[in-house]
Amino acid sequence: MRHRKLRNRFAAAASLAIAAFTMTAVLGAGAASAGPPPAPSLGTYPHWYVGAPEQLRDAGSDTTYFMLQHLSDLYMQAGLYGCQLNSAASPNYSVCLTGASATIATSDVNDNYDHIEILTGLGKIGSGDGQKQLCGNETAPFGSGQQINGLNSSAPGTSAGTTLTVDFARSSKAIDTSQPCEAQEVAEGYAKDGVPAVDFPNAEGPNPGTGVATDSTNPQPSLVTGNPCTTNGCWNDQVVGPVAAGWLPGDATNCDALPASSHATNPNAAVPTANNGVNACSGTPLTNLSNVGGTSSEAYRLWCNTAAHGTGTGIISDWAELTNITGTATNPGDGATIANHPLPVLIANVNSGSGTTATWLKYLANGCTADFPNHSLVECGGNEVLENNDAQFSGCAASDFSASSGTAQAADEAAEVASTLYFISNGVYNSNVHSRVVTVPNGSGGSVNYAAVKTELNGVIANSCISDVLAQCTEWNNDFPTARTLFNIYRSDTVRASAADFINWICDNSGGTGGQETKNVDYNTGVNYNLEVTSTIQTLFGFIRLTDGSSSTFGNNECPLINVAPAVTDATFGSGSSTINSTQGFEQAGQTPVVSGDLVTGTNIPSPCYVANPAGSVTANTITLTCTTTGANTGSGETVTFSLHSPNT
Amino acid sequence: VDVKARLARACLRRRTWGTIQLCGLAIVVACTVAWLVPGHAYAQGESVTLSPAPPYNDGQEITVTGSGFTSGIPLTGLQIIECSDPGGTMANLPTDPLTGCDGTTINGNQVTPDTNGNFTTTYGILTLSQAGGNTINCDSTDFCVLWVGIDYNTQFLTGPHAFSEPFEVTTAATTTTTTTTTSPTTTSPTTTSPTTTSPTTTSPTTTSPTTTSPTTTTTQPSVTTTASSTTTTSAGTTTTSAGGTTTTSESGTTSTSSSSTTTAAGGSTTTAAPAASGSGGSGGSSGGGTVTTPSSQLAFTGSPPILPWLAALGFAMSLIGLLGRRILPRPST
Repeated sequence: MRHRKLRNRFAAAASLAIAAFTMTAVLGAGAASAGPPPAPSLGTYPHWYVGAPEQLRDAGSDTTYFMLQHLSDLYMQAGLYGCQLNSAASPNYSVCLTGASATIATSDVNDNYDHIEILTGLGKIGSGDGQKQLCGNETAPFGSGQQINGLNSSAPGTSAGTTLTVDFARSSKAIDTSQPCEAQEVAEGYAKDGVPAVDFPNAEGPNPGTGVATDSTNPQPSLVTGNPCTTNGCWNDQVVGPVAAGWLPGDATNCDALPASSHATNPNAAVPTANNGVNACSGTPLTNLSNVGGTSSEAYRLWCNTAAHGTGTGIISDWAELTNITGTATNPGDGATIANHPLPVLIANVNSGSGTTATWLKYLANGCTADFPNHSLVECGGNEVLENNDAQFSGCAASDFSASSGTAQAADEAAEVASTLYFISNGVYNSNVHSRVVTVPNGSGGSVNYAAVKTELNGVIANSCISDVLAQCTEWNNDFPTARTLFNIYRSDTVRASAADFINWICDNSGGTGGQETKNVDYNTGVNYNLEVTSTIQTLFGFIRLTDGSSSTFGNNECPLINVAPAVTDATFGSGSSTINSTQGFEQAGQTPVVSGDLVTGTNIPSPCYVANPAGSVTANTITLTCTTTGANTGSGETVTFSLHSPNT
Repeated sequence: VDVKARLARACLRRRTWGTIQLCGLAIVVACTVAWLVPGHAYAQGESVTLSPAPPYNDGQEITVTGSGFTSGIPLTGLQIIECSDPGGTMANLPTDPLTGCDGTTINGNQVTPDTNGNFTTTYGILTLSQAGGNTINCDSTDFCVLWVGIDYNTQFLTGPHAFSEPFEVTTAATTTTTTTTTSPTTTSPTTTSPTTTSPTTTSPTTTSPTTTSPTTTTTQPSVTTTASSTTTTSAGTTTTSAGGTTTTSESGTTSTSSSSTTTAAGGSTTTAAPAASGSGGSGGSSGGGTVTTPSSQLAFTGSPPILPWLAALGFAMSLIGLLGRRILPRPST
């Protein structure tokens, strides 16, 4: 009897316990799934959140200008669902709330939690200029020698009245080793591209083309170095057809390039060309350029070699030398010019500060300079043109032949376009069709479009596909001679945490399927931000995205997330000393090294203190500090941790 | 006996032949309207066909043949990109390139239609994987299509364009195989017989010749296969070798044993291709992976291959009806 009571009570207690457990589990689960996400840790890898809105500015590359605008927009719109801002702060909403109040159910703790705003700076456009501005090595108003975020500067917004911040440089070329802050620069390669040359094989202007530039009574001195215009104009009042398609005097001005099979032995026609050979031009179309042969290479002779023209040597300045390949002439550049019928090659004078120009110079090599010695002195008035846009030649042609009218103007403008050689980002070429189109008058009150067509380089065509094993992916495997990486470049000694978060956000694709778990879904589109970043880079802008997860046998893994060195636990320092010692060492194998500018924190270290070693010298067991308050307290066996230089300054 | 008698009586009526003639004319008119009137997915005028028929291997170079690209085609040429098409259905064709296509798959070569709006070019099919850095998946279970048009970013659906039939990419092969498919006994009036097989990618040191051997021809479903293989070395040099044996099975699958896939010669690659039906839809069987049969409404924006046949039927009916009426004596009044 007594046992039965005990059993009943035990059973009742057990039932109650199970019911309570079940209710707790159910309610708990419900609460967990419906509640807001916990507020993220501040100042930690990989987001480096600071808990407050900030503004960033980048500058530099034209090639990546539009892409960064778009990526910045994606990042900023994620901030709509960032932390809950503190209305009571001064200024209002200048910091995030903390603790449980920091987030609500819709908070996105993975994408721009801090409400960062980004300005895609213009300034003096070009990768080289962006790096100069990052280093404070370009004059006002974009640098003025002042490092806004340098070790000794004040916070942006207080001293930035005279200059604009450059938190990181957009760059379509690698780090410029001539810059004074080169040692502190770190390049994050987040995309790949290539730079083919382009010509205009379909520019079929109405004849005759006079080529008299601007003023018929005072012709321009020359269209191109070494090929002076005559008194009758640069084309000597002769007809100019689509020279890049192989047009030669006597051909119809609407002739087309022959297909490759008709030029099987000619290196200039390795691929099928436009229009399938209907109404064929008699010359060899220009569909390939080569840099083989140093200063005697076809490419170098076109852009750089100023010596007198000879067989296999000197300048190539006439289209007939490229396309009139007959008889004993077998190499492009050795064709015979046409008597009294000059066909000058117009080398566009591309922005010398451009990373695209730098890439092309690297291809030309042999000491060619960024002003391209053989650039046209007439096209665009001889002024620099921007990279990656053929449409601008519409304005150039209209300006260069403003004195013409009617059919003469149409012929002159068409002749200028037809005679142009230019180079362009393959990503821009593929993704922005408008960037390939030049619109000029048709001679009867209307207009006509001519399209740029890219060439092969050294027999290789630019392809943007991703594969370690397929030969056709020539940008990925670097077979395309001007394959290049697109970078965001920051300074390790000044990079702000918010800038690091944005740069990391672009690079971060680690883990899992596509890395989607590292980013949230964009409430505005329903698509995960990671996928949106990829489609922005690859589909909207035609490049190849590189991430921290990229792995290949071709070195396409240049986008590691910004991190800091791990803490040391055996730090010793004396009162008033500016050095800290560690027996275990500050650079541990396989870990991010300590770099100048890192924020140093520890129990007995005044705040803030930064690593002040010259770049590259933090290699062993001693670091030097610079602190805003003097004198470090004595410490031994202390734990010292590192963080990015300043969360807010 | 009654049925035969009724049929005989019916054949002797002029009204019967008149009805046949009218039906034939109606079919011809309907086909013409279907061909010309906008609003149908296939009625825009542009269409593309792929050969050989899917499925494909990663990197396999196929021939893309297009027609109808006659209006509004600028000299910038045509773009070809891979887009996802879940299930291989027309309903799932992409409407936005940002979410449905991957820009890294764009053709590298210039593709310009001739004055009749036709073109033929080669294109390297790619396996795509979101995990591997692509924006979409194209593999043995995820159908894709080729989009062909002028400007995928700004005129994806608003400009002249066409989608290909859906396909799967069955294996991550390392060989680029060029194959030409013909239909000697005529399977469909829309099946084309491209002959250009030059790969678009070459190396600085070599060219890729067109190869026409070996050739195997079978009866229906027939496939004439011309195989060559492009082999890639890590240094970027490309060599092309021709040869290998080709066998065609009754089911239409083609096994192509070709040259090596790595730097040194050796090894083999199996390429599976279903019969060249020209229907623009059948997924076909696979030699390299499991191929699921997509639903009956396949993605294909070219004109239906049956349309010319229907028109021919209508024409024949009209003719027969006309002759029938003329042969029969007019009823006396």
